[in-house]
Amino acid sequence: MNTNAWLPLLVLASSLVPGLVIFMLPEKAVAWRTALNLGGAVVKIILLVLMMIGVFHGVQYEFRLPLVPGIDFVLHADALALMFVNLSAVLWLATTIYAIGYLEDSPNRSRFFGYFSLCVTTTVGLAMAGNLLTFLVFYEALTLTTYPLVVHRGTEVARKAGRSYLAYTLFGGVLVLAGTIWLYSLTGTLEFVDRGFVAGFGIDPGVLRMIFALLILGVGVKAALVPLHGWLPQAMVAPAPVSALLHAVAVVKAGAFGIVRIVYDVFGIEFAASLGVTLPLAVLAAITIIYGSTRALFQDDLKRRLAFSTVSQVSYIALGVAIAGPIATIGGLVHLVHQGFMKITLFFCAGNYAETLGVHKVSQLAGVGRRMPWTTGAFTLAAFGMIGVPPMVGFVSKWYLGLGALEVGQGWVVLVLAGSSLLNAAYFLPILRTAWFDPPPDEWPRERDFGGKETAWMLLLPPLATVAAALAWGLFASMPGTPLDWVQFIAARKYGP
Amino acid sequence: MNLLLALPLLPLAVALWLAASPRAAPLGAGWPVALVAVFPIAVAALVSPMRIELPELLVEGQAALVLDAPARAALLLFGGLWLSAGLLLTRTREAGPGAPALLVALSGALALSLAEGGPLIYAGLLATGYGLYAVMAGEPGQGWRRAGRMLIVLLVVSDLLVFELLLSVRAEPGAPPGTGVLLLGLAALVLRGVVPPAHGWLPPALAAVGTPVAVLLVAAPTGAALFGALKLLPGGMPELAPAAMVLGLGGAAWATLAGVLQAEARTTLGYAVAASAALLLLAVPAGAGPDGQLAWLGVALLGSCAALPLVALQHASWVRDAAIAASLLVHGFAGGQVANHAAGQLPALLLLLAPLAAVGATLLLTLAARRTPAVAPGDDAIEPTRLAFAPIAFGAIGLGLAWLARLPGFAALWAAPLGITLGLVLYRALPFRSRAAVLPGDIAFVVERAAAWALRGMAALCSGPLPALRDRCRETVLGWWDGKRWSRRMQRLDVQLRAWPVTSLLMLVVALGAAFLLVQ
Repeated sequence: MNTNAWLPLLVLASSLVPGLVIFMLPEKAVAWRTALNLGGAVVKIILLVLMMIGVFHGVQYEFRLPLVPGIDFVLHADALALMFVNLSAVLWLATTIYAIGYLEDSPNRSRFFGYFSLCVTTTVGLAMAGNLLTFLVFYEALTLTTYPLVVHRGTEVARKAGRSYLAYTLFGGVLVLAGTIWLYSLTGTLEFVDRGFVAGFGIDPGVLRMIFALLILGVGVKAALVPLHGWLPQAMVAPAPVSALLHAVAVVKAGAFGIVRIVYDVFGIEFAASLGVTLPLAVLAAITIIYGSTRALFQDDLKRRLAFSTVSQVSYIALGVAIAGPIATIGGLVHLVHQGFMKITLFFCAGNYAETLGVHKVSQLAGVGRRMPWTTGAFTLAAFGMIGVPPMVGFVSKWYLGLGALEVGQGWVVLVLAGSSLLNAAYFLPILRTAWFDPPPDEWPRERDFGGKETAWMLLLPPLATVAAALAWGLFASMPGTPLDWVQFIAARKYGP
Repeated sequence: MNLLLALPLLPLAVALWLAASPRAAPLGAGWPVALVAVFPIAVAALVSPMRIELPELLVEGQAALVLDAPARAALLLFGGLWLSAGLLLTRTREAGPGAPALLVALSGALALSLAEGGPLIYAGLLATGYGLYAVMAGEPGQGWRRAGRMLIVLLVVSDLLVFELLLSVRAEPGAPPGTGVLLLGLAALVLRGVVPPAHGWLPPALAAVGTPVAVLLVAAPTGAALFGALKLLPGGMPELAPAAMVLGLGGAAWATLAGVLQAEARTTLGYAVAASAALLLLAVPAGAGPDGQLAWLGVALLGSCAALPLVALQHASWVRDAAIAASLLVHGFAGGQVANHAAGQLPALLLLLAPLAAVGATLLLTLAARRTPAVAPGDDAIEPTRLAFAPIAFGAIGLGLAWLARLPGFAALWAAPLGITLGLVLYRALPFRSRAAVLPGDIAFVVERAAAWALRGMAALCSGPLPALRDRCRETVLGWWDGKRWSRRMQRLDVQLRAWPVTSLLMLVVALGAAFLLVQ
């Protein structure tokens, strides 16, 4: 086995080992914990950069270990996997810095950061899974590693949300398991292949449709497709870094990524379209987009509003995949990255409001822009991105999704995008107006003093960095090295000759 | 750095500096705004035609910044407006909008002025629109809020329509855009350009804001819509002529009628702007014309309107009278020329209606000028009073350059004297009103109330019956999987079965089954 085979395992270990060590650290070992967290994140990013260069030049990175007879445990770093792993790694670094500041005086930090690292490890494993069984293993592991984070506060509400989260996601896992077993019994293989592997077996289309439904509904739980989204708003009781992780890095994205894998590398997009399963998926995604935005409109709790916004926004990815065309694929896949950066900024900002001023509700945000201008500036830019305003990255995603839909003659998708943008504006712009233009109250609910600064720098730096990236990648979207550039590289592989 | 690239970036850089530096000049100060606004005016006046390709910007790989005749006109208009507002802010004692908001809006306007390539134009339109909202929102008091809400809604819908237009054009490169697609673009520009029926926010907004902001609101939204139209719907779109004719003529008539029935100067001015915007819309299908004639005429029309809030700051004197007269003449002549420009697209029977629309707009501006009181002799006026001449000067330059492009005939000249005379006569003839006969904004607030009612209904539905129904459904579905409940059901069934002659029944079933199998 050469170095190339070990690199995926090293990427996995760069968060797994720090996570396991952190569990054993005492609460007071702040410096060690910080060093391990940040060191692991930086090492992971360096390894990933090396692998991206390699993949761009055609190098194969694959680790294979026999798991059960006939099926291997496979970690395979293709271009699609690296896109998701990179997103997770970069945002893990940002979230770790944020979480260190956020949980400064909280109890059980070793437990928190231990599970935090494990959660990223499972996300990375899921992204690099080379077959459906490896995917399933990490998919379930992700559920188990995120549950302690959801219930971290230990309150009754948190435990209830945790139970709901477990019930939903384990049910999703069971569906994926059923689909996987059924598929294996018919094909004898589960290996992910560009353009899918199920087409050549002459299986009854009705059976394949059933398997597709099982798999998509299974991953659709984590992707929060309506009506399987109920766990997501409830999980908002978790601390802000966990919310950021759930929405932008790990769980929801894992579900969306699962949809991409199943459509492209299990069924193959052309074969899936010929089975007639992509249109129902597109319709389900469209319903989710509009439903999520409509529900977000009436939430006064800021994090719940953002949660319903995620329900809506993540389905753009499913929609882009289901439209079935190279340009829509670019739009859908690039939104995986773009939405991550915008949404994590919004959650960081929501966390800053809660941590600095004790503000949790939209109605309490009056004048917050004058008290916390940098945080609110970041929130404003990210919200504009969510609406799809240029030059933010959200515009780039919507542009390609719209163009892709028109390319394949699905004009109704453009109407869905327009309706969603309208609703996004309707639930984000009032927040901005309240924050910037309403007079502030005489006293904030629970204001903390940060020595004349608007908040702690560890809380301020991550949202500023993520929103700067979201702005730069939108403004210079056509430059080499941007997420759009990488996704065009992926789409060329999925659709090219 | 390239000069054209520096134009939209400089205001942003200054805005960031002002926002980040606590020791910088107070954010309300007008000097930074005025100084930055001199830059586009200088570029428009002094720099030769130029073009810079920006292939890596945004999504198309076709973005560019271009300094041509329409771009010069736009730079002159926006630079002049922001210069006036900035200078006014250095003199007024009232709290005004923050400099960062003003500079962000200016940056958007300058980007729009120079932009080529759909997404870049779109970005310029957005930054101008939302920036102007932020400028308005920086005003003290609450009077702007309702109008601001309406503006935001119009902007959002307009943005979506522009997005659809750009997508549709990009999806079929090389093919001429269909009429439906072009209509989307036209509708978008109507919504953001104060053209009736999307004018309702401006009159009440003008009545609620201070003079510096009023100067911007009078001309900047319509200017942005006009230059956006000239870039997004390039010259010669005869397919749009019928729609533009209906909206333009209908809008001008509507604005004229409602404007005449107003009582206050600012609200009348709002309707004058709406009538002028409708007139400009009428001419859009004819394209910019030679040497950007329509763009220069837009500068003249809007510049002359923007001068009017300034005359309210002056004592009654010959300078003030000269400013008003110059403003009305520039507006009237420019309006006549715009009508002349639009006439080529109109059916022969309706040819006279376009100049009549120009007459209506000038009439309203005259009424607004007459309704604007001068500063009382004992009160302080804003010095120097000559500030009012800045927008008029830009307007006059615009008119002169438009006339250079094509000399006006009698058809373009008669609207001015007629409009001004009718305006003066109406001012004398109309009875004094302490309240407007038509509420400023006319149907806008009715629509707003209806929309608010619908929204409240939806909110009530979403927070009341729908979640209750959802919870009931969920409980029912979950009840199917409730182990304890199933266990109780099975126990009940068991007890019931025991009460029956179960054994006999089972035997009967088995016997019948066996008989059936034997027969088979």
